[in-house]
Amino acid sequence: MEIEALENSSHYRLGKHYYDMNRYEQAKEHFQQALAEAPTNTTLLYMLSYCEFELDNYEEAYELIVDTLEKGLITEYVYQLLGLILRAQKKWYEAEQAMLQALSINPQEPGIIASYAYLMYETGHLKKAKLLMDEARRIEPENQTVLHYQFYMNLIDDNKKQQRDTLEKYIQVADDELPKLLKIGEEAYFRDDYKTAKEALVQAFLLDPTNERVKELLDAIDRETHIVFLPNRLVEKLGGTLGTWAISIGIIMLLSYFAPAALGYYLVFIIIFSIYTWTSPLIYKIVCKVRSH
Amino acid sequence: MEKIDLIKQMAESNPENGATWYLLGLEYAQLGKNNEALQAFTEALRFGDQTLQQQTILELGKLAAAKPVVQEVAVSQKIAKTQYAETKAEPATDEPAEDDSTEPMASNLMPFQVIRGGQGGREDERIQVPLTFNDVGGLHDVKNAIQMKIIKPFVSPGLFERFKKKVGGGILLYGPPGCGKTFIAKATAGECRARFMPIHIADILDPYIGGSEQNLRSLFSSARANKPSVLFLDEMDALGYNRSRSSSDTMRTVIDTLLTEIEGIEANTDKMLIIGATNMPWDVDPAFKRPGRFDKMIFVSPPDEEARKTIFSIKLADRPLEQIDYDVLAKETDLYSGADIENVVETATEEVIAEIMRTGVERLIHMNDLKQAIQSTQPSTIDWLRTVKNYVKYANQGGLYNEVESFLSRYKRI
Repeated sequence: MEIEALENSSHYRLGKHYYDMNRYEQAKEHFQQALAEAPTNTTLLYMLSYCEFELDNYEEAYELIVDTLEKGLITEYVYQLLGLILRAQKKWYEAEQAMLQALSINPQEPGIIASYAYLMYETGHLKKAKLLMDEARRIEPENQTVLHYQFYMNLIDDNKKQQRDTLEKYIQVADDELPKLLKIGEEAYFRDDYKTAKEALVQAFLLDPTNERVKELLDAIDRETHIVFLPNRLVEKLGGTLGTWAISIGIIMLLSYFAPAALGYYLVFIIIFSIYTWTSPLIYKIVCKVRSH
Repeated sequence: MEKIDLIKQMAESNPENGATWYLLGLEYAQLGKNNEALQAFTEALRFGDQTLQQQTILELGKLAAAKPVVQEVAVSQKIAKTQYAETKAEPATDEPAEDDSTEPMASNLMPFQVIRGGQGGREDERIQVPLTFNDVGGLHDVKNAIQMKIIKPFVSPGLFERFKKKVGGGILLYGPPGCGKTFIAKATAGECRARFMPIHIADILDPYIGGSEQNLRSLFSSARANKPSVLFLDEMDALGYNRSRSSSDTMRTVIDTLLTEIEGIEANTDKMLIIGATNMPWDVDPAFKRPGRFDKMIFVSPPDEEARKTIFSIKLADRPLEQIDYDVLAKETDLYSGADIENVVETATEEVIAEIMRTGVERLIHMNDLKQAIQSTQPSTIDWLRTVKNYVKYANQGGLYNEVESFLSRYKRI
């Protein structure tokens, strides 16, 4: 009866519509009003908890998911969400317990195995994480959640070949364009292919200009490729600060032997160059500020 | 058993048969039971196919012409949306039909306009005296763009016909929330002397498969039957969400239906305009932004100084005031939206009332109260403008947001 009432509730329908659009703020508002009509509906509580989780309100999300469990909706997905909330709260042990509960209900759910694998990876249990991920991939190699976690594990491992393989598979199965473009951008960014990264991230930005991660990466690319940081990039190419100093000392010795008259000029250049590379972040900030005005 | 009882029984046993409801409505109409007829026709609209819906709308028109009963509108507002012409109809009661036959029908009365949908509380929007651009303070650029794009071709189509320029099509208004997109759309309808028919996502969503699409088609067919009309699609981002981001198959079919219906306006009908409004233009499916759908995107910026002055004077009207310098208030509320200005007025009023209650000495609202309220508030449009600023910076290759770019170039603090 309550389910029927829920289906007929315009607030529920609107909330569900926004929920499917990943607009959790608006979905939350409508779900809260629907909850007033059906206060014990566990599906509604679960979805509201998910909204709070996506909005980074972990305390509220936790209370709602516990309420969902107390009211009798005990499924692997409820425990998985509990695990994700606890992971976000950095309560690693409790998060693992929740994931294990989820797996005890359904040990064959690849999405849950993959999220458990990522939890293990985050907490440093690399071998266990790898075994779990292998198992998730064995059950369903083209599961979107599995490929999502696999991609980030490969990214952290800096395993470029596997990164590309996972990304290719992810692009084939994912239905939302935004995470696809974001992953393409991230993969290219971390192998220093800023051109490709920027192209993908601009496309992602077209889809969602409120996405913080996309903005952060675009800003980082802007910074990395800015002319102000050209000397810093040169230092990096020469093997970092130590390499640059070694080369400088070499040049000083050569100059003092072959062209002592030029030594003074070179020393002045080195001092200016060093000061510039130290102060370039500040110069960049000033340039950005001036440009935005 | 009488014929009407038989049809009634059929309708009760199979409530999803639109044709039965239509027949029942006809029977009731013949008997002069207008309330019952209206309800039966509304059910026919809900369950009937497109042909039956057209017939039902015609019957509803006849029903209204035969007996313009305002009270019926209120009775049926839960199930059907009805509206008289902008000119106020003489309120009548549900009296026997002979009263009507003695009085010739007023020539300025128009038939019922029936729109299906679930928002009973939104009835007021449809029974208002039409607004015009004279009611919109400032925003001259927006008004000029709308004048050129839709009002002039709509009101005086001669020149445009000669140049084979189509009348109709759509515009998409976008801008920060609370800046008067809906108000401008209403004023556009008023300028065109057309019916204003708002559609919100809540009018369309239906829990049953195919229900949302059917609702959408019904709304468009109602608008077609009642031209000239301005169909206003509020929260266009929610109605026409970008399909490349949506994982819901149900919503995809709704968007496809909406695209087909909008195309239909362009191809088959004149004297019907479509205006969309959104705070998130980037979330609107690109298919809507192609020529033939929403031909033009118009940026509705936060109200300019003149508009703010007007808003202040409207919001402060009928309140106990001392001498107020509206120019100063308008100058100090740069980037404030209409809703923000309303908030400023409310905050100042609350402060004055609190002081009166504290001291027991009654006083008027001073200029200082309003200034303090302005200082204690921030314009809510800044977040939106910052987002769009990044958008312009990174993703304006197509030049779709040049208007915003030129607006932002005037503001250093964003």
